[in-house]
Amino acid sequence: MFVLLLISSGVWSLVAIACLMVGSRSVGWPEYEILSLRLYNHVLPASLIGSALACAGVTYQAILRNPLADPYLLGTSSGAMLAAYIYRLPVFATVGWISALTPHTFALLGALGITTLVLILCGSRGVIHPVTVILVGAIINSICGAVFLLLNSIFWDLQGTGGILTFMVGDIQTTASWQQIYLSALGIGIGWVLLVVLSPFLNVIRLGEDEASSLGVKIQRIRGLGLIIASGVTAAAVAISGPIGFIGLICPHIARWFCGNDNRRLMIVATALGASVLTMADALSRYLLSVQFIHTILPIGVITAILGGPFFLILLLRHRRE
Amino acid sequence: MGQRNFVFLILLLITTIGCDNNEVHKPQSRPDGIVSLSPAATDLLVHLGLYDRIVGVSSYEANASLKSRLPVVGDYQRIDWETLVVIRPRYLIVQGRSDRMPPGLSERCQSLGIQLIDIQIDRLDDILMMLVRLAQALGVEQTGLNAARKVQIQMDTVIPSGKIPALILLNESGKFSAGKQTFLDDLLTRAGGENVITTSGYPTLDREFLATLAPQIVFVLLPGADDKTVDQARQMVDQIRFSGQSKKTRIRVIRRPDVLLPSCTNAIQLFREMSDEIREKGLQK
Repeated sequence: MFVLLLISSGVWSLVAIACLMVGSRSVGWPEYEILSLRLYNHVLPASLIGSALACAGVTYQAILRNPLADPYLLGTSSGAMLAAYIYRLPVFATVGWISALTPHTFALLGALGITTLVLILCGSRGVIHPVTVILVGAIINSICGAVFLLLNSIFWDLQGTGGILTFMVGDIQTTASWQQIYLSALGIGIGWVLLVVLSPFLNVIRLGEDEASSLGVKIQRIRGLGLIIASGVTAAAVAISGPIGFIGLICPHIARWFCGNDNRRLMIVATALGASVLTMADALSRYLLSVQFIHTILPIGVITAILGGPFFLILLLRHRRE
Repeated sequence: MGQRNFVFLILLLITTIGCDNNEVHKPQSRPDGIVSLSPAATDLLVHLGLYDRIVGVSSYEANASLKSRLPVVGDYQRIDWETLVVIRPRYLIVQGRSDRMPPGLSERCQSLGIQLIDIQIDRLDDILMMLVRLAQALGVEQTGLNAARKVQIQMDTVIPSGKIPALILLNESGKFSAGKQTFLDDLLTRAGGENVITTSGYPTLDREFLATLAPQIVFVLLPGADDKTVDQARQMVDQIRFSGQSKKTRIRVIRRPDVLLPSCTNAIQLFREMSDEIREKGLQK
């Protein structure tokens, strides 16, 4: 396992170094000042968010025993989006303590709040059924979306709605405060360690409820714990990036090609892969700014959706053929 | 195995992009340079005669010649800090409420030694106020006062011939309009019109509500619209049976790309277009 961790870290490091050479103005090894800008504003946050989404994706897919499960299933992204929009409402502009918060803190609170609500609604006498989680998640997601649209049609002239676009499409926020980024990094770091510790139990869940119980594993407890940790990790990532699609969905699948279905290995490989893929997508987004006909910074969520969508379709078609 | 190789090949291809040592674009640097992330602010800078000091613009810049000539540094949510490091401007202008600015924006500007100036334009008077404030911040106070006076004079040349009820629609389906206490309402009032929408802001309307209004002129503002959209807008207004309509309501579609931009140039231009239309309607009466 340690060797796998070393190899995965090595691959990510190589990708990160290559991506450090890609800039919006020049391609090649940059001067120190630009290097540190690329590292702290792009490569490290992208790696952090990518790894968070990928490890959360592995957990969701294992717990819900659904290969289509992604980290936004429990309404994390819609909660963050709605909270970020509510933050901008004129009503709250005059409330001192709310004004003192940042939209990212609001997004984090929204993501955690909605996820907690979904988990409470799903749990019946301490039992969480995967199908109920998917259904309740979908309903809460659509309610949040409807409330967002309702508010948007009432306050459609809201100032500075550019930030809302970020929370709809997803991007590496280069205007988030360092305090917010450190806070998210801490949350993701702790969450990742806990998910790695939990990963052997995720293998047992795959066997089914009866088999797991016969092995002495309290499957409901593992399920609840896994969902809470994975949702917390996703919320921490969404707070500084918005919902970046497909990373949490496709990285676990790609990782399975390399290391099979063992969740212990999968957690490590998918994490490195998520970090690498999002760092590359971010480098591509920066590189495209220099392309004359584009001439704008493309949100990273657009790139992951354009590249991830067809890739996932290929994956599905291949799966159907088999 | 073949698919694994395919994934490795893609990874290799993307990483080799980073090894291409090729300088893409060399932006100009000026010690007193200004980067404007707000198209309205760029227009104010042009009115202050500071065109040459602008060294970077936003992705949404309305001034086509500046956008093609200067590096684009994103918008206030997504800033390309790398370009800012290369340009090294002294000032960065953003538009929005100062208490709602992303916190990382001021943090990073401070670390790069860039002075952040935020402007907020909601009403017509804000344009003149911001012109003076911006001039003060950039050390050209007198130029600002002169420019504001000049803009004021250009908007006072036409004396309104009486209050003509008018409606401002902001899309071809007539769903969005400009109400009271907006930059567009201020322009209409100054040009001699009276907004038939009495609520403030930009309310959403339906056909039933539209039929209860009695405007004599309908301004449809469609930035950059094509002929088909303009026809749609005309048909939409023609189909509405406005209350107490004795004569045909005049329709004026304005489709300049910057028609909704709260800038000096657009304010002057739109004021003229509105006052011409109102004067003609007044003469018909």
